[in-house]
Amino acid sequence: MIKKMMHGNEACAYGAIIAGCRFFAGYPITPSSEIAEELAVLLPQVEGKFIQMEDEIASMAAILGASLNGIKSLTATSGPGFSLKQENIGYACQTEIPCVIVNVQRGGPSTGSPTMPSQEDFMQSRWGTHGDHFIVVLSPSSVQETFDLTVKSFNISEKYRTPVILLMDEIVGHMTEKMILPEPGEIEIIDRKKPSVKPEDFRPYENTEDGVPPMAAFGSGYRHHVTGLMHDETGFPTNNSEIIQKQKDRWKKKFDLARDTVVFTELTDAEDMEYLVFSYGSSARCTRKAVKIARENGLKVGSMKALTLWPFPGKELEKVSRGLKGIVVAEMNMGQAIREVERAVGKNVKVLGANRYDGESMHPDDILSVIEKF
Amino acid sequence: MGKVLRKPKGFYDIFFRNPSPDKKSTHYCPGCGHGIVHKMIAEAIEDFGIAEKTIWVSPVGCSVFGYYYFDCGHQQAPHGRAPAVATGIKRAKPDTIVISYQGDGDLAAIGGNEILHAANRGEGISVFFVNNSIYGMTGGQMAPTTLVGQKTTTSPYGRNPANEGHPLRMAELISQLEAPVYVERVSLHDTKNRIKTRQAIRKALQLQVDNKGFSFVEILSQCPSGWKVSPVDSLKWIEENQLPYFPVNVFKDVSSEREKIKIKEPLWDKSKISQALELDIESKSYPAPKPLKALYEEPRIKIAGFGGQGILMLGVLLAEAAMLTGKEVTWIPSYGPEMRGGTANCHVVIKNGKISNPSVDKPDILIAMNQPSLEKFEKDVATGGLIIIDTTLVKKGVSRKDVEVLAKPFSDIADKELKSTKVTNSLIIGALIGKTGMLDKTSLFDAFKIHITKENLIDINKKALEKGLTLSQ
Ligand SMILES: Cc1ncc(C[n+]2csc(CCOP(=O)(O)OP(=O)(O)O)c2C)c(N)n1
Ligand code: SF4
Ligand SMILES: [Mg+2]
Repeated sequence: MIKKMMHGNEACAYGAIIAGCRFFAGYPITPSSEIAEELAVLLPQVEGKFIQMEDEIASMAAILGASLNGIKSLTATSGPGFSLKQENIGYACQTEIPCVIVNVQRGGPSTGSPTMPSQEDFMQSRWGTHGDHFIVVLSPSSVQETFDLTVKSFNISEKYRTPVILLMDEIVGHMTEKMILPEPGEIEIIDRKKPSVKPEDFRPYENTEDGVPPMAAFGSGYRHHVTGLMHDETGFPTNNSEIIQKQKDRWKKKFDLARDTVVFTELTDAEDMEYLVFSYGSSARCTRKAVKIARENGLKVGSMKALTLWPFPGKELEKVSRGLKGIVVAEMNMGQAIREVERAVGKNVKVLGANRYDGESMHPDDILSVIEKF
Repeated sequence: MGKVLRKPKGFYDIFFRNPSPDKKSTHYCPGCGHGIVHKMIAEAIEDFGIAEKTIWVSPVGCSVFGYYYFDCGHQQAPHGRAPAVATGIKRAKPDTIVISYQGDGDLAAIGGNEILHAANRGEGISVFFVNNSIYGMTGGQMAPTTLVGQKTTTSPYGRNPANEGHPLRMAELISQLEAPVYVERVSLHDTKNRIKTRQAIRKALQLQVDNKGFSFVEILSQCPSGWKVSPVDSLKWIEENQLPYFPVNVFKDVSSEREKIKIKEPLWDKSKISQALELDIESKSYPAPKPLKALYEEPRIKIAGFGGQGILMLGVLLAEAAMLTGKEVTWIPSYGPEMRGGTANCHVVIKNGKISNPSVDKPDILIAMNQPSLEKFEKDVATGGLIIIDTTLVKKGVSRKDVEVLAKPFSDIADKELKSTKVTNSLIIGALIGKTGMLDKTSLFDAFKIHITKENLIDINKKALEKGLTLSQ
């Protein structure tokens, strides 16, 4: 273990290297560029490949190709680039290609506020590409968490054959903090499951018990076909509605079974709480401060920090929400996660939003003034 | 801050939109080339008197703030998309002067496709391409024009052609296309070359004023901050690093041979619009159909077979004819993964009142033009309904006893008697309306006129329909 000072974007690059990522393709964009710049230095030192592509569409396409060849792959971007990546994120969902996409959020839409903090891509990270699909989204609130969740993102993507989105924000990306860096071998690293059958029996989209089909790298003796068309177990296109439904039901089964292993939350000051503040990313830092002030003023407030945004930790939230006098959802947007919170806790608890969408970071007062409204 | 002395009229006197307290200087770093290029363009705008009709399309890059300076219309495009946005502006109002001002990342990387196609279409715009071999705005990353060996934050070991490829020579590339009228590369590194730059900018704008087409001026421009050299050394940097790889030259100039592009105004004349949309057709009345069974008054029809058999057209013709007769109709197609060769079917609903469900799960009438279609859909037909099969292709007949069947070798008859299997569907239509009385043939003849695009085929289809009428028993 080594202690180091670094900023969030740097921690992400370090996490990627430790997790086994050896391919990065990206396109410079504020406030994510440091991830690319750091990996431009680090990857060649571990014989990995760093490529700056012509745009984000191509960057995303390149990491799909690299991952299909058995190499863990990463790309990093921000709002406008995240929009461009959606086409190929959908492809990764359809074809179940493990890969990690970092989005260091900026205010939007369009070019928006490149250098200002925001959490406006909560919904886009889940529903950015078209069509029914599943995806995992993690969101760190500190430099340490950025490192940890980068490693987790790769592990989840490999274990479940899925793209994982690491949804950072500008504050976390650019904030410098002390962090503890494990040495290689000190933390769990998961690699995708490989086929053990004879090549002629290999079915790349087999309905396995856990819903995760083994994955063969191109050139490893297993010939297979990968297509963005809806396909059957062999990977070849189909229009058979029964098979289409079966494949999609398998996706659902896979994510249902994975759900509890990929949802991470942290509950604090919960024993006697009457109010709960729900938040994520850098807003969760401010929430801790707000809770401290509220308690000093005699209010019984607790907090829940979501490290996983999707699947949404509704179950966890519902469990602790019973009997509460109110829930505040603190986020730097006009109210996105709050919709999910309301869905999770139903009509039993009053839910109010503490929202900041002016490009400034969340302040404890933004939260405290909402608690006063209950 | 690079001071702009003696401001040309193309500029605002005071850069009031610049949020910086200094409203007289540009936002560019000291020694930056962008400001010099801006000044040359502003002078030309003034001298040509075109400020009122100039639209400046800014890129994403250091020059994103073009609207601080130029006293004209502005649009800032998403990264790389300026030539596409400019295309829309220019095509919508061809008498405007449209400038696409772009950096090298914007134009040659993310916007590579947009510039190539705008140039290839010969859009009548002027492109000013500021090549500083770096991504200035985002803090000095590699650009597609970064030189071999040049260190940037994303090529920290120096650009290596084996990994990053060679720098793109955009002027040369664009000049290979047929459409562009004028393509030149110029440089800002000394007075002599700045004079040439000024001339090139003016020429490009003059060509747009003269409606001559697409022009492209690449300008080698200094970025002291990105290159990490002093403003003075940055001029030497151009000369020593950029110039050997990016030679200044006129790569293409066919302006004297080019005709002026003719500008057409959009049409607003009401009668001409009606004509174009065929709104001027008189409505016509048709003999009322005489359905022989209540079931045929408002039939739900499924037509199925191979793609390419005219299945979909058969449905369209029935729906069109019914619509002409005054009915409500829906038609929906459904095909396999291939439009041709695979299976195809369509659903037609004909009703007197509003239709709620356009998809036909239980057809009153099934037309099956191949064996698999009959096998798949026979069981769904409503009791007392009608199944029509083409026995040339459907060898095993209908097994149900509670439906009517009309079985004829339609394809054979079409082939032998009408000399074309292409009219099989019209033959079947004839048999269908003969059997059911659901539509009058005159409405179908008019439907032919609307949907059969080759006029010489209308007669043979009419003939086929007449022949079909005799096959209805
Ligand atoms: C889709 C998208 N990706 C990335 C960016 C970030 N970005 C802003 S400016 C720029 C590069 C600009 O470089 P260049 O075109 O060479 O202009 P310069 O600043 O050098 O004049 C990039 C990558 C963005 N705004 N949008
Ligand atoms: S970074 Fe370079 S291109 Fe941008 S303003 Fe500064 S000198 Fe000019
Ligand atoms: Mg540049």
